[in-house]
Amino acid sequence: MSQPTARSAYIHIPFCSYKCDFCDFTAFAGLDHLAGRYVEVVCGEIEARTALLSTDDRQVGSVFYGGGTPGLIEPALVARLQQTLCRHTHLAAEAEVSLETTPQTVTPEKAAAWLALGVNRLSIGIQSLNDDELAAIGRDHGSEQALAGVRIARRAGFRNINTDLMYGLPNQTIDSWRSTLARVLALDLPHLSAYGLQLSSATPLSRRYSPASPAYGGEDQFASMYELLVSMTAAAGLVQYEISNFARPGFESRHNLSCWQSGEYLAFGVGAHRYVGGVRSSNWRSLKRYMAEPLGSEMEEPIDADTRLREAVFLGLRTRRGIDLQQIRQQYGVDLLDRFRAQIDRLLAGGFLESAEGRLALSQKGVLVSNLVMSELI
Amino acid sequence: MTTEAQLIRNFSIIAHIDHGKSTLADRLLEATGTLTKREMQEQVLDTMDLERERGITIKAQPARMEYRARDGQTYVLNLIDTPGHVDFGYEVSRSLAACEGALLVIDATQGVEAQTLANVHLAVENNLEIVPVINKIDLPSADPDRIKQEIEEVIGLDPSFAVLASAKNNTGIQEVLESIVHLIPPPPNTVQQPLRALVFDSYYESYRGIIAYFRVKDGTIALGDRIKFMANDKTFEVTELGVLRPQQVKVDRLGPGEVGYLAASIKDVSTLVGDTVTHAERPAPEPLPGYRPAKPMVFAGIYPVDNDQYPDLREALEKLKLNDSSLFFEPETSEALGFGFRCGFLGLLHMEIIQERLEREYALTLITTAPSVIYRVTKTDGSVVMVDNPALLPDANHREMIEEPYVLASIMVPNEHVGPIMELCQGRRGIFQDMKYLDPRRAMLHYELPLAEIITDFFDQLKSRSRGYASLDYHFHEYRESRLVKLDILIGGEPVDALSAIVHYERAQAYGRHLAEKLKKLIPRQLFEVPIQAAIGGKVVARENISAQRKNVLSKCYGGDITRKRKLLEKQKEGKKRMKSVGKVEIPQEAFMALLKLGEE
Repeated sequence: MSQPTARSAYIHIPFCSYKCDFCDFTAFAGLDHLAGRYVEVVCGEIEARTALLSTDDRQVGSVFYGGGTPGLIEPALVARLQQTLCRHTHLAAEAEVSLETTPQTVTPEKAAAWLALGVNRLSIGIQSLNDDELAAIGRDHGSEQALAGVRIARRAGFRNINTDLMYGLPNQTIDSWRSTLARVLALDLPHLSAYGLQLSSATPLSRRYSPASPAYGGEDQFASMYELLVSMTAAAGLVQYEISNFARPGFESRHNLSCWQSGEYLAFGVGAHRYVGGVRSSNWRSLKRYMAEPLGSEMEEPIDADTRLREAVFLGLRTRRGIDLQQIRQQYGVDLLDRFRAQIDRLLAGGFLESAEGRLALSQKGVLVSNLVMSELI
Repeated sequence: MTTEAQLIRNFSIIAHIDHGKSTLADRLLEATGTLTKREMQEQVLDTMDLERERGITIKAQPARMEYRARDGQTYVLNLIDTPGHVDFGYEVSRSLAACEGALLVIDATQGVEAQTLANVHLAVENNLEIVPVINKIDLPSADPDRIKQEIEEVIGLDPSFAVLASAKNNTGIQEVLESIVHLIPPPPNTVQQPLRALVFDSYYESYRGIIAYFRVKDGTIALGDRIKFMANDKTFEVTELGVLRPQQVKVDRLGPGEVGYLAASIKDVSTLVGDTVTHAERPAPEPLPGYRPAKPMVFAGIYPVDNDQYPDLREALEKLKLNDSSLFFEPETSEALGFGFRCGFLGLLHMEIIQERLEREYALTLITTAPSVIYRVTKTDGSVVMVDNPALLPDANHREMIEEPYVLASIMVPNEHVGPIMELCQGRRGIFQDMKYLDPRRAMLHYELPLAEIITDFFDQLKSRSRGYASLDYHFHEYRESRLVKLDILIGGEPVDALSAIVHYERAQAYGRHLAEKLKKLIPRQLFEVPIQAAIGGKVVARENISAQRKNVLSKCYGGDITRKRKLLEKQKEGKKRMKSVGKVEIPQEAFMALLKLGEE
């Protein structure tokens, strides 16, 4: 897990047409009129922060516009951010530039503008192709709009398209999940992210369907949905490279891979988290406070060697290749097989871990209970 | 320099929990100017955090006051505070041995309670003068006349000297002080005799060594004296001498009847309490009677969750023992829990308190097994063994008979709750002795009960079935043969010795079922399916299954989530540190106490 040489850069755009009922991210609906001012503040932040970076830290290999819905704001504003970033960092020629969007936001004009400003990877939040499920989680689009969004992006010339799906939703059945998966895989896109619902308290969804609600179908169904996901994606030629991510070889998200390989990353915008020079820090989550103090920190955490090791272990285990024991030994001077001998033996015997060629990885059975497995090894 | 014995009064306070003993003690300290209001912290004499939190007194605490009486003389009053709970009867007897009198505090609305009665009898046996104080007379439901009648009829004391008081409202406090001076006799003046002082408490300090609290019976003790602890047969030089006001104040000399503390660089002495201090050069011919050592009745295993803490646990127990001579411990080993100690306690509260003190004051993380009594087992070869750990019960085919300790229990209860309390006692294998009506409202029940039935949730049940009004006192009666069997618990197919229990055969199956159900609730779901079985002599009588966890995964983890996610995993790992791995199963601390909380669910 050597440190990737180029940094990745994350830019947070918090605006949304509607805040989804399961969402607990820094996202705001109905504040679009602030977008212009917001982008100016972020540009200022990029300029100020990059000025303090070493030349090495300014090498950027991937950019990710996340949100919120970056696709919602005027492409000209994204272009302004992209230009600012290019001016103040060394963006690699072949850099991966991703942008997140909802399907109904995608128009031929916008898609063309994104391509023109340098976006080469689109991540479209579809979540489900079942209209009842979409309504249950409070999405403001239907399945037809979802498919249309993908079609438009493709026609405009995007080759590298990801869609986000969710399972474990209220009233979702194995059959409806199979149907959603089949229809999405039929699109033959090179990348798929599929997330089990993580029900956060204090979201409208958790009030409507509490964690105890029978609408959720239970753990066994959740496990079956995961297993279905794994088998159907494999049959469609997608390789699972992380717990929730599947890609045609060569189309893995470089931005996210770098984070699971314990790489450092720059970040800008409200609530954004960065990891630079061994320190993780985050911007204010309050939009008002961020706009007033774009360089202020809500959280700062120096990551010492021991913490870095623990992160390397659990992040590495998220990837299907797992962790390279030799590399950990070289980088941290720790032999995990020595330190966690009993635990590792037990987890291997129980079929929660697999080991091959000096690597340690979660098995499919282990993925579903990965929190328990990881907490044994940190 | 020393106070003339004629002007000294040594007394303790006997009271039931919540009858206002600590408040009264505070008022006395205040009224005598020992402490100003500003110096007063609520309930000064309960010094341990634990005592204040629980509103109980655990340790005997001395306080010296100076009181200018109405006769114009200034008296030294030594209060030796005593605990009220049945578990700490031994502390009471120690305090009483250091006093000439006792205040008997009775709640003007509640009347005399079972333990109060037991302690009064103890005081009377010790020839102490008793001064009744009827407290809380400010309450609208106060009925001092009825209480006076109870004092006469239930306790057998002359109620005409009873003082009416309200410690809360500060009324009657002067009368209490005057009664102490005039009703309680002074200690005999034996200044010419060789020194004899009774040690009634001690604790350890790393700098000064062991600090001993004592009461001078005969002679005088002075700073620099070479003293000898007669039972320990060890000699020291007094490096510090003082009185307790209640904070330590140094003095040079203390005479007959005085109460104080001393330091003498004492280390490596296991038991000072009950010993007699005399002079090395002019020793007394006979030591003082001392105390009958309190016998532990309840036993449990105490184990560190983390085996590395074993030496720390030993050291902590040794230190606590200095302060609490009734604590018993010896090393034992459990297959499930590793190295630990079998500890003996006076009762359940004592056990809880020791466990809490070990965890708080010594930062240990511990597992305490369910409490057990000592069984007397006659083997087929005729030999007799005492078994204080159910795991060590000889096999059924080697046992001729098992005997268990029975106690005589006195329960005071308002008439309307007699029914439910009798039901409780019958359900706990109690044998009814008699019932007496103390007055038109209350009855006194006497039962013979197996001690093992009392050291579960008996006391909680007693309270909840009487709306809190029943009170209990008990003492050991005799060993009696019972049809008892050993109940074993298997978790994940492995027998867990620390969960074994000795139970009555008629109830063993129901116990096993309850215990398995309870354990299912207490043991979190794990990576593997965990079967729980209860077995008697190899025959499974109950079975539960904890299904394996199938979903515990965080789907999304990107740059912004790493810190949060890592902390979540670290917290999960910390949680595991409070659990014990038995085989491949993680068992939380509280599961080992499941038996205790079975209750009547």
